[in-house]
Amino acid sequence: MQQTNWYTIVFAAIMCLVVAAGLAGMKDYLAPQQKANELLFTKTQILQSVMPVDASTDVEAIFNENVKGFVLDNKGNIKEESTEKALQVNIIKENKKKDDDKQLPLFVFTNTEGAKNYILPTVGGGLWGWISSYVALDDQVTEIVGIRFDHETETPGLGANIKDDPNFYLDFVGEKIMDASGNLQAVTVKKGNGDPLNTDKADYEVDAISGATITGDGVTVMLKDDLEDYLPYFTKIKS
Amino acid sequence: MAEVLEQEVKVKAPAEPLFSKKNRRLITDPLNDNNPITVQVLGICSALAVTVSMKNAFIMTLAVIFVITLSNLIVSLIRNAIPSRIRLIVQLVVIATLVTIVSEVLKAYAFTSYKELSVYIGLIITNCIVMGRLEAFAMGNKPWASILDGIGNGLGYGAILIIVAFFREFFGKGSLFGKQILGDWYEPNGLLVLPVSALFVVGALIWIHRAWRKNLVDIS
Repeated sequence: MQQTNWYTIVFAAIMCLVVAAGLAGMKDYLAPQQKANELLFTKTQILQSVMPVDASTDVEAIFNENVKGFVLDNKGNIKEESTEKALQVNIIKENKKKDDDKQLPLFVFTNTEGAKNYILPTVGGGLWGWISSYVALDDQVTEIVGIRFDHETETPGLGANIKDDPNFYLDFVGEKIMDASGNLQAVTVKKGNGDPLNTDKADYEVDAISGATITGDGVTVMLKDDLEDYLPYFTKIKS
Repeated sequence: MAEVLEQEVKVKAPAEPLFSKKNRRLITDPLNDNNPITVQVLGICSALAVTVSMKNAFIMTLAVIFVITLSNLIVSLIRNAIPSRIRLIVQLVVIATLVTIVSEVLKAYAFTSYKELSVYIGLIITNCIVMGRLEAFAMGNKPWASILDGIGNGLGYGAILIIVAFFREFFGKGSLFGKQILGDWYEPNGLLVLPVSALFVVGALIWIHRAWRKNLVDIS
């Protein structure tokens, strides 16, 4: 049956309206729950970078107790001293802004013995979409104590392993990011670095994932670029 | 008014029972002789991807059954109104809408699974099984038959997914549904965790299936 052009156009228009209205209504209804999930996920990632977290961990309580958040600018000044504000910063949007306009969230984790860790978010580009991480540094800001990655659409089993494979992200633990003269070296994800077991913690390198070269290179660039943004602040607190 | 209705009913052929032999075949056929994966070899991409763990395979199965059944129903209901020139677009809109619903609901109520599956939930849209059923079945059949056809194909797809996931998770990680089953003595086979291994398992399943059902073997 061949319909008239008008019938086809009207049918398509009505279909679009119905579908759009339906989806918009649903999104409105689900949005608060989704936001809460994302917030909890962020808090979990921040805690995971400094301590083991499993299903029984009360993420919310530990986070509120031990983590303080700040928002910095790229000159190293504290703009806001509020954990809530720091969590609200959309790191993916901030990453696209010019350096001078960037809001940089920073989290400080203080454990029961009073030792401090600095945890900062990083954002970069993977193969298909954005990649991000929460990286925890020791109180001297010389080495990584833990890191957790997230990604938008990296290939499961390959690039997505930056988030899912402990063999990858645990390799970063203990890696030095500063050289002896205090310059930022960050950490390079490297193919065939001759140290697959990662015994040398001062070579600024971790072993790459086979089949995920572009994601790995993305991690390298992301760490270098985003750690750099925080250097002014760290220089300030050290002096 | 009531009289008119009664007359109409009399003219109609006696209604088919809901689970007549023909309708039952709509569900059982895709499980065996017309299986979307092992016989039609459709939906392989997602079968490779989400079968690393039983849990992911299970959620993917539920999501596909939901999408394929509802889209079959919706397209079947409006099949006579769909302008033939844009029917593929209409089918795609129906599928995409349902997939978006699945994705958003998972994001709100099963966030961990959403994080693990998000790419593949989106890819249901391009899963050729779903479009295939809409074009081949729902466009020409009544709603109830279309629902059964959707459930049948979803189950046939899911059954293979879960069998493949069983082998990959059990031998690749020594666990099932994330619970460690095999002890420390078992050295996990890392190859099975990689997507390639799904090809081996699916290939083996196709082989076994055809060795069992001789009528599936092409004689050319």
